Amino acid sequence: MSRIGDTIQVGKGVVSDTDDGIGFGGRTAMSATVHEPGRVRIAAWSKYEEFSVYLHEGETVQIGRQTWRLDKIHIEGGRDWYADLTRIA
Amino acid sequence: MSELRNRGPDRLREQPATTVRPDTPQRKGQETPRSGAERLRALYADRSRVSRHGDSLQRGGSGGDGRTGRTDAPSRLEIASANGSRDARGRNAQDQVAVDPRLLAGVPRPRGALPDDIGRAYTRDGSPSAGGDDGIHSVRAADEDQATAQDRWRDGDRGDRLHAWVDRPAFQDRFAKMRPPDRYGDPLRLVDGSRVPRFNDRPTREQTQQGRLRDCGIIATLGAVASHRPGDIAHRVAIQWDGTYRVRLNEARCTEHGAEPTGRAVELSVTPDLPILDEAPNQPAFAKAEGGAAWSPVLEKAIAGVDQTWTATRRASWAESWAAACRADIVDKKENPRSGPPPDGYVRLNQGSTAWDRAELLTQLTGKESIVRSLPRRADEVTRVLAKQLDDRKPVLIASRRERHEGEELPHELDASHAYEVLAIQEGKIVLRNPWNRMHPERMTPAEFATNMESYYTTLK
Repeated sequence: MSRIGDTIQVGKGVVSDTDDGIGFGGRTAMSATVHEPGRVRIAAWSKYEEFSVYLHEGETVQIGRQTWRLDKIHIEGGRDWYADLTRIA
Repeated sequence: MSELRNRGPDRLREQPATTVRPDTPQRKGQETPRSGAERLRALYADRSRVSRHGDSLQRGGSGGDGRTGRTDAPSRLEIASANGSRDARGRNAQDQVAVDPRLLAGVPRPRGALPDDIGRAYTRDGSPSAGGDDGIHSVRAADEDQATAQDRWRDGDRGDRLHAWVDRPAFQDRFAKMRPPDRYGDPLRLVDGSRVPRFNDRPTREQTQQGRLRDCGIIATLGAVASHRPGDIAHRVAIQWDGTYRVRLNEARCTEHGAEPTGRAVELSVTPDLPILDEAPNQPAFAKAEGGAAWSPVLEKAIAGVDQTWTATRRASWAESWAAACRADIVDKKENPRSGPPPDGYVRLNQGSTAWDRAELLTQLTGKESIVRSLPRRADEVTRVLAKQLDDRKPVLIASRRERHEGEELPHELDASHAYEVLAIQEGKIVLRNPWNRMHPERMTPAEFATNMESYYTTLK
């Protein structure tokens, strides 16, 4: 079972999930520009729901009664990236 | 139907209706000339700005759920389960029009092809999309002569069966950006000491799910074979007296347009250990044991280890692809460009696959000749050709096109440079399955399909 403080990496085209059935898939990423910070679009799912969401660094997403925060986006061209998420609630 | 069972009431609740846009390309019979951004706006026109951009995301733990709605998922669920193949068969039965044999011709395998399911693809002239010929082809010609001689020697020496021990294939890709799994563990062991069974009833595509490995092409192929030809999966994975699995594959020889069986069997003794992360030791880091069946991660491990049985010719082909990938990294000015000898095991699978790699796997799993074909140009021919393949229980695999610019989002909930299984033709639209076992794309008209997918597909001949 995942716990508060656990981290997970979500990368382009792959699935990362927790022991308790929460899954994330990396879809697209956009590098930071002078106008907008970098962002990623990830898929998130639990046993009962699935959706896609855009996240900037510092934003959070709720899935399966858990809250995960996007800590950092590591991007090297939009086609090769991953993001660090931390469970905060 | 098992996929339907996986969906709970919450998910169904958030799918109010399938929207029909009056200007959708399928009504025009061809792809709209609108820009990608305009297409995206049209796609999400019925969704609120809040949900589109996650503006309601919590900051500091308060706010909405910040999710992007998926308005047509119930219909896709139905498509993805029982109705799909029946629809394809029904359609095909209605118009038993012979397929033009010219549409069934194969696409030659380009040398040094780059994977089309992880971001880079080969160009239409057959050369890698970056790098170019720096002499490796001439070097390869000499290698090939030597390899052919070695193959002849090996063929005469080994009889009709190959055997390899697959214990702990390499899994830590030193060139990958994401953190690799930490170690091998025993995630198939249950708390009562028993092990997740190889099979839970007959194999299905819903029992496959990609993990942290970039092998969507492998997982899509496993799922496609499982549902079209479950016997081809069921008889390949056995348990042995010592607790290891015996995986039996057909040896495949790469042909100009795909792959064919050599007539020899490849027997792999596969230990149950799988790569895991320390924080999630009870589940495989790569392919999941979905639906209470272990065959998918076991087969993925066997496929990771099958390179031990490769001929010199096959190794030379992989070395050439690896060299092309290394050159592409240098051209792309990657921080940590790939270099050195070609990797094996899971690390090899982490480099992605080409349509011809998927053809090789199709042959290894089915013992049948496989082929890479071009998509027909005419919309009616696309559906007719694909429906005929599905009607004949022949899996169809195809990759989506690559991004045209950073961050581009493909329409129809497609992910760029990602391998999919063609599931069915339903009401003239093409249904795809995502090897994530989630987030299946929306149905597409043939014109939309041709616009957003690569121009070639893999199937059985």
